[in-house]
Amino acid sequence: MTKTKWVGTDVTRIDAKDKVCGTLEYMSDLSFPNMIYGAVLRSKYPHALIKKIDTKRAKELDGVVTVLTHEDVPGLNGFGIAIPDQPVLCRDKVRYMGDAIALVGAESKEIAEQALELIEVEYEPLPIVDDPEEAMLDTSPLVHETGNIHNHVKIERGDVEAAFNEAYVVVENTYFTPRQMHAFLEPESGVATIDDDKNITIWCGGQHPYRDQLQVARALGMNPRKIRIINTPAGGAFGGKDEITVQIYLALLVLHTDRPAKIVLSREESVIAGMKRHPMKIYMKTAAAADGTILANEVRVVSDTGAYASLGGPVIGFAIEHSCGAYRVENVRLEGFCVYTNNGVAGAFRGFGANQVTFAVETQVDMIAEKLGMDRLEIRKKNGLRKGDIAALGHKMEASVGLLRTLEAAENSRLWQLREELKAKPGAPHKKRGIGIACSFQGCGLGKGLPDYGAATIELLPNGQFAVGVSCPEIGQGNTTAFVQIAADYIRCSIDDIVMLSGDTGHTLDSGTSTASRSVYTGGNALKLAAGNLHSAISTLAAEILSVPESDIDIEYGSAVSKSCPEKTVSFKKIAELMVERGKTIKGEGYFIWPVSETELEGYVGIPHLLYSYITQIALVEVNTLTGETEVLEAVSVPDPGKAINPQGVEGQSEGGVVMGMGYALTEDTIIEEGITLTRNFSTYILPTSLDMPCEIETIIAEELEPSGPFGAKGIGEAVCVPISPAITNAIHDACGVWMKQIPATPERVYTALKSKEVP
Amino acid sequence: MTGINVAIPKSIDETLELLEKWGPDAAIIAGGTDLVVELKDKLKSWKALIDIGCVPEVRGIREADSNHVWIGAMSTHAEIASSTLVRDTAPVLANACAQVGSPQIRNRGTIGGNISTASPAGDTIPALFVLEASVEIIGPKGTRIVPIESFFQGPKKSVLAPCEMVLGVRIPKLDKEYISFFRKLGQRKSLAISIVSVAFVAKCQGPGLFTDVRVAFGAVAPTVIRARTVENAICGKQLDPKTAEYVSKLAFRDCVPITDVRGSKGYREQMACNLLYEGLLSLLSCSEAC
Repeated sequence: MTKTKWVGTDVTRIDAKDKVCGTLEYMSDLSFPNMIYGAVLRSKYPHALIKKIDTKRAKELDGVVTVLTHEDVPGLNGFGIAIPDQPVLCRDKVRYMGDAIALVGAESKEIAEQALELIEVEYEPLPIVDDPEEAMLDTSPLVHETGNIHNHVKIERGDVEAAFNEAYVVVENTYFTPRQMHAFLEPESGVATIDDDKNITIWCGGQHPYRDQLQVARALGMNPRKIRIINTPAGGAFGGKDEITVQIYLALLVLHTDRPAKIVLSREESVIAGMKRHPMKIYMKTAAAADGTILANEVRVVSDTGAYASLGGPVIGFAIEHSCGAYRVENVRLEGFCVYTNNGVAGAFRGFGANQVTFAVETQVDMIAEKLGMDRLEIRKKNGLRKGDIAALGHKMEASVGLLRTLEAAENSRLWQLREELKAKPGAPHKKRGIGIACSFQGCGLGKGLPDYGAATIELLPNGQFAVGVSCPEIGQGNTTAFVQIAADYIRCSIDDIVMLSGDTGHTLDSGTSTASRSVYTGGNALKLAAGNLHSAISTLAAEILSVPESDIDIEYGSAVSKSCPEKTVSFKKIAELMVERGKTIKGEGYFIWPVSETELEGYVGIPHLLYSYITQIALVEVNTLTGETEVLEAVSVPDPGKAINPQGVEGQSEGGVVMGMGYALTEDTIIEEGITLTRNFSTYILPTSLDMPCEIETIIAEELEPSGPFGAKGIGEAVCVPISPAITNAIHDACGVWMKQIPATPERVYTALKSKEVP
Repeated sequence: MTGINVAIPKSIDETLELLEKWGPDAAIIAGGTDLVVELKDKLKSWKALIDIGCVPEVRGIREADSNHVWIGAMSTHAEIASSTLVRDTAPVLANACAQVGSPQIRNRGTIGGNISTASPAGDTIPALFVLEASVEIIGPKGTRIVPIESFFQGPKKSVLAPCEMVLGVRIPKLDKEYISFFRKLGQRKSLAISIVSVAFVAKCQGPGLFTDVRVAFGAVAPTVIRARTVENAICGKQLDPKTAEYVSKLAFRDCVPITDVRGSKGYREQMACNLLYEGLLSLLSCSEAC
């Protein structure tokens, strides 16, 4: 590997100062003169026909500038990453409480909200389907006329029946997982402007500015080039801003009024209208031999995508791909359904379907180990994927595989080594301590069959600095700092000489999404190519300046040097001066296309992956057997991110991931009954607070370098929140002997499980 | 929205005048931790808010006489939790106040607000029940004193008449022979609304032997309740862990909880018993407390 100056060091985040000082603005803080405020009329019913929409009274209200309905959508009245099945503004039917019917623009937020109440909508309520398995029946009300099963994945390999017959141990269970909410700091918000030539600029939280641009252009029937999307690094996303949120509404408002417009969703509106993690019901039957070898896995997953598809299809595919865990399993029968209901919409969320199935399979593995009297770490080491192995979908693990490295580092961690000692000292006799371990893998990139590419630009600026452009937005994960480090080492300059441009269609090429643990790998590789092209351009000018042939030029940190005559050097700053003098530009562009697995699963896109990150996590818990309360006392997180570009950044991701996965395991659920959300804000949707966090989270980075990655990097944004959830529930079992098959493992659920254990 | 009038009276007399002037269209605002939520959710639409933050008569924590502590309605949870007087003479209330919401809420929310809101899950109320506190109410006809147990009539319903407000609470001091605990079970450790809460006060006659036993539960009935069945069972009985478990099981007899998004009826009943048992266990395990 190339020697590096910046990569692998704890460079301070480039957005740290602005965030700490509060000078970085949220999108909702931006304002423009003459700006109007938008508000969206949401549905009154979870499922109904719209008979009539009358906006007359709302339009007459003083201070109302415009009231828009489906009639005012000039282009395609729909959006959706996979298929545009969600109306921008509903015309004849609503399918969930978050459906938008009308859009008001007014002189103030208060007037806009008042106007919403004056819009008269005549509905004809329809029967509701809120259970995905019911929705699959022929007798179910139809959410979409095309049928309620949006996507069906079925993969079989080997001989499952024979394996079950031969097996020494078989465990069979059904698991339930909750509708987790992204709970980003800033609800979906943005501001837009329009100029005299009808060019629209939208500032909005997002995860793929170029796709947002296309979706807005499609709805407006406009040339995408007339729409500029800008994301800024505040507010968070976690997958919940991957889909369109308020961008199209902002564009419609500015288009129809020629005035700047702002929309800020309240938390309550965000909870009802926004994306969630897919709740899944997972049936799993797993067979193992007496020596702990996993022989077969049968899986059936039903996933509730709510009223619209968004990324529900790819999520069920991803769930199936990861449903056998990071293990070799030769005989599989895997089936997944992504189903429409009248519940809130589910879409992308950190982990992308792996969280649900990892909870199930990692519980199964612990149950097998218990039945066999086998060590929980040993069974994972025995079955864990190694490079060259064939994974569950029949594809070969061709890229770097760091699973064993993470398991071994976890085994050597203080928490695992001292586990018996730590368990022996609970806070009170009725409190029981336990330790749990779980591991997983996480496909990086969009997967086979989905075009996955990214571009980057590097331009020498007149002052000798470099403008580096990668459009994957900073959503808090720290990718822009990683890009600066990677770029500085590829360009061979100081990080202080880099001006980072990100998340702006006006200043960067399309680098794809900030999702799928992909942006560092994609942006880094594109930067590598761009730096090569930049070096050629620098070499051409340097050769002229130094009067040596271009082939004699070498690039060192900060300057170009003659290989044959090393005293002949010219600094980048000097080169920049001469570039200006001679009216030239020096820039490099890089276009990177992801490598993909050789295995093709006919009929499916997005699976399998070629590249995975790996992780093992451990939790020490204390369960109060009188109340069922579970406290996570300590956690260890051992990710394999490939090369850690910024180890401190990896630690930050790891700690945040542990807490997010802890919330998923113990407290978080958006409860929807008959299409109505009961947990409408953070008083009933229970996020962990600082007091609920473990006293210590130790992150041990286990780098398994990936040759195709920039300096050996893969991605780590998602895996960090995945196996911690079953590590916690496995620790609950270790503490008090109950298997939690439904998360969140709330005090009431744990207590109920304890009580039913007492009654034989 | 046409806005809302906010009046900031400087005395209790001025406050009462404003209350009479606006009638049911006005609400008293103290810390606003409940009221602002109701406004935001459009559950209420008052025309005026009367901010009593500058009214001296509702402020302060002091000895009313040698046997009583007086706490002004405007005292925040943070002030009460850190008051030496309260910690010495009514520690169960200091403990309860320390577990309300979060630091921000404890800095804003007041005891008068917690009482007036009359939520069955209000965390200071079980403590006031076992302390047998009295509520001082002031209104157009003057002042009246209502025992805390008679103050509440149902969820969000109290004996406060229109134009009346809580002035403060009077709490009989407990001498050093009394021991107590407050425990709340929430969905998380902070910023949690109680699924069940319990407050306990008793006179300790020796290890495991209690008299003048007072037990109150929150969130298990339309109002906070005293659990007299279990009080009688504990009173004068020599407790060990086994008998403590047995008597705690009587707690459910006084509970009539409901099922809501935070917990089921059955779980609440069991938790009333178990929280009491857990508290008794910790009292028994530190007999030096007596």
